[in-house]
Amino acid sequence: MSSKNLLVELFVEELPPKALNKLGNSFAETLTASLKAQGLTAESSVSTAFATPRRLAVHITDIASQAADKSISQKLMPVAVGLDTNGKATPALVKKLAALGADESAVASLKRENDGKADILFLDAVAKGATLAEGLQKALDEALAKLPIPKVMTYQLADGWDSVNFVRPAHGLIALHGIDVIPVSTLGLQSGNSTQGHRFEAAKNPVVLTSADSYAEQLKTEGAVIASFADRRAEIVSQLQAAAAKQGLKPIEDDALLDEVTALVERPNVLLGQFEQEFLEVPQECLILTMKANQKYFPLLNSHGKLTNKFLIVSNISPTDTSKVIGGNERVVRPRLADAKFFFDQDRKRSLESRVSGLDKVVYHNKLGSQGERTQRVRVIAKWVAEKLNADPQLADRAALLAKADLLTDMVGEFPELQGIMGGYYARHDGEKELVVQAITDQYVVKRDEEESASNLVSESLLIADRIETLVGIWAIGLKPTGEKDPFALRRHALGIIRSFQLCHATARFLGEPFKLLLNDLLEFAASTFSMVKIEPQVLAEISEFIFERYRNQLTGFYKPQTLDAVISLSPELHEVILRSEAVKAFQQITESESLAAANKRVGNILKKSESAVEAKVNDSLLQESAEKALATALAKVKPEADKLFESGDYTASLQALAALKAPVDDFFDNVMVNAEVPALKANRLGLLATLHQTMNRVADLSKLAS
Amino acid sequence: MKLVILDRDGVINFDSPHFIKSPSEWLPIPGSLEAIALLNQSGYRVAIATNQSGISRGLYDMATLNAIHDKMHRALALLGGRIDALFYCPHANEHNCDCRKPKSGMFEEIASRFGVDIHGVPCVGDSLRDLTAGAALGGQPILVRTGKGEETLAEGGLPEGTWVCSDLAEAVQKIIAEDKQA
Repeated sequence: MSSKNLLVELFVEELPPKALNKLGNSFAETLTASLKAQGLTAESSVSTAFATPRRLAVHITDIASQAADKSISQKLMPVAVGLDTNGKATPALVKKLAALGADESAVASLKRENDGKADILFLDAVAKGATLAEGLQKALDEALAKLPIPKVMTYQLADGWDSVNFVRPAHGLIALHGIDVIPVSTLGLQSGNSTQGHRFEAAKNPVVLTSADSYAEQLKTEGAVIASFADRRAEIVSQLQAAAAKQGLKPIEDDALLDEVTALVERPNVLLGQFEQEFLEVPQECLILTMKANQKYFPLLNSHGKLTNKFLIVSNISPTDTSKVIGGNERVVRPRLADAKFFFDQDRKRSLESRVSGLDKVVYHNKLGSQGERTQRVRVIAKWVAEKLNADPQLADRAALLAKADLLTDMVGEFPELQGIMGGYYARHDGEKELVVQAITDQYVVKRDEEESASNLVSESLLIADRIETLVGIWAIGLKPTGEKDPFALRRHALGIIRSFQLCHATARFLGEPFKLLLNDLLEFAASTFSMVKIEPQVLAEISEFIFERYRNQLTGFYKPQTLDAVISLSPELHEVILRSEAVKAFQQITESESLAAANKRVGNILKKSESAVEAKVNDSLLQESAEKALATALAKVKPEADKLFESGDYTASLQALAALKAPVDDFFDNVMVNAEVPALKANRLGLLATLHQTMNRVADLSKLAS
Repeated sequence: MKLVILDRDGVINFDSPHFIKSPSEWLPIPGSLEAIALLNQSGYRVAIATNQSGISRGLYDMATLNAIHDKMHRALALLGGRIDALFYCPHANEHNCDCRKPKSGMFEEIASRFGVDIHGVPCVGDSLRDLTAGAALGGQPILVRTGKGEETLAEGGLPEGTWVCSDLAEAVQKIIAEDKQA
């Protein structure tokens, strides 16, 4: 048995670039895993994947040519079925043994084992280890079957008769074990030891491999191909950096583009191209997008992040005279840039405001009306929110009016990714106020990157209005998220609302301003702007619950579940959840907290059991026992203090003040019988407990903290 | 783009002469996180440039520094705020690196990351080296009296045009007020 390195390559026509890296890794992983399952790999085996536009390959070290035999215990049947009363084999057992290649002579050596119910007969056998040829055939079939192919094509084989389904037509197969060809076949191909190099630049054709280990090296020297995806990507990066540095510029950073380009070339050659300065009048986002998306170029930026008229081309060929390649690339990008410039110039001939009426003809949702109607609703809400946030309501209204108008511009029609960004450019051109311009731009910046936030309060007002309008409208027509499905991204909108509330509340506190934006008011106001659908209070309650549920999930990384339960079960204002949770967290640090929580739970249970409603009132003259008098006295002192702190918003101190109640409460329960025989005494004691309960549970339901 | 560069220890959190070596030792100065949230909401990018020679001295490792920063990010996230970029210099004085303040290496990195000129960018710190590092590139130096701020002020020799504020909270309000006037 000999252990050598294995190389498998499937040579194909140009593979879909966006899927290439995934295809290459999957091919290598599945093939290696299958060989491993069949016992053909060793502990020390290392698998290396290769992927170029025209080939998928894998090199695995230490592959055996024959897997070791394996002893297995074959389960046959229960003893009662397999043997008759005399211990002779039944016909059923004889048949089963025959099927496994044994005969009656094996009966004596059968093992018996109890599976918990009955004795079972087992046959000890030796499974012959697979040869590499068998094992590899199986592994190859599996690897191809499991490829994550985005779209399968059907093509005819050379015999003109059979057709196969595969991602792209395959033309060659290599299976080399050391220097030996392992006979396997797939997709109508027989394995061999030769492949082809670069389509145009290979020094030798075909490339005949001398051994499995010389694959990458021979492809590089004879085939002019960098077979490894990672090596080719690194080569592109270094060439891009070098070429950009020569110009004193830097290429845009874009990993997805880099991956795509790596999947388009077998040997990269980075070249510098440029376009006319006049195109730089067009917003750089448009130019960068068209160069990246349509041409796969790397635009070059100066040290201030501004686009220049230079770009880098990653070419697959390296001619001595590169002027034709560069010239060709410059020629094809020019009409693209000219289009962008044309759209930009045309779009600016009309103001955004003049386009707003056109939104009446754009459908938002058949049950919720047009984009125009939606715009009207968002305007009203944005204005309302702005008033609450001390932002300028007129500007918020203006921003909401113009927010979606760029949908109707040619540029956004051509490049939907630029929605918002173009709105910002056109608004600035129209002479809109800077806060309005920022608000229009922010809408999509925030949408693209959840880490981002609105850059001013007008923008924040628009954002909140847009999100709450979406939540209320979509929820009301029955499209709330279910399970994994959330087509309108309502979860993200809910998280966005939470983020805005947190930020606005933190800054209001910082500036010593009152925070006037309340979630329930906001929901009700938003609901009042809908005329096509009636929004039931139930819907608003559901949305509120949905938002709190998202918040709770988000906060589980910060607070214990009981802490959050204690706070959220009292339905506090959204922006107060953190303050109260912090207070509870601090309360849990003090020694009295545990017994107070337990007592609180006990009081709650007693009050729940009481047949009639209990009024939180104490008549001092009815207090008899010294322990209840002591509690009443302590409460009379603590309650005003805790209440005052609560009203001032100092929840932490309010909860800390309760510590003084621990001793009297414990004493009360040790010495006082609540259910006194005299009804008046009992009622008074319940009244005392109700007062205690009220005092304790203003910040959070402390009973939830009891273990 | 509007940008602010902050020092960490003594500006955002209480400093210690014995270094901040663990997340539990990292405690925010009251109002500092809210001040950062206000910067976020006013359209500023917030970057931190901090000397962390404790790494080279072996006082704490990278995992611990990450845990400390995680605590800071999380505390800020509860307020809806964020730090957009965090640059630290792990070297000690004797390494003679280009990043350790008072050198401007980290500030140049930040400028390049955001594609902006540091000229006029508010640079907040509690020691002279924080201020000189930013001022060397034309930034607006702002000294806070928290951390080592009082000592720094007493020693004098501040870069020309340095604003002196009681803490980050006041500094941020001044930054925003000046911006509105401009």
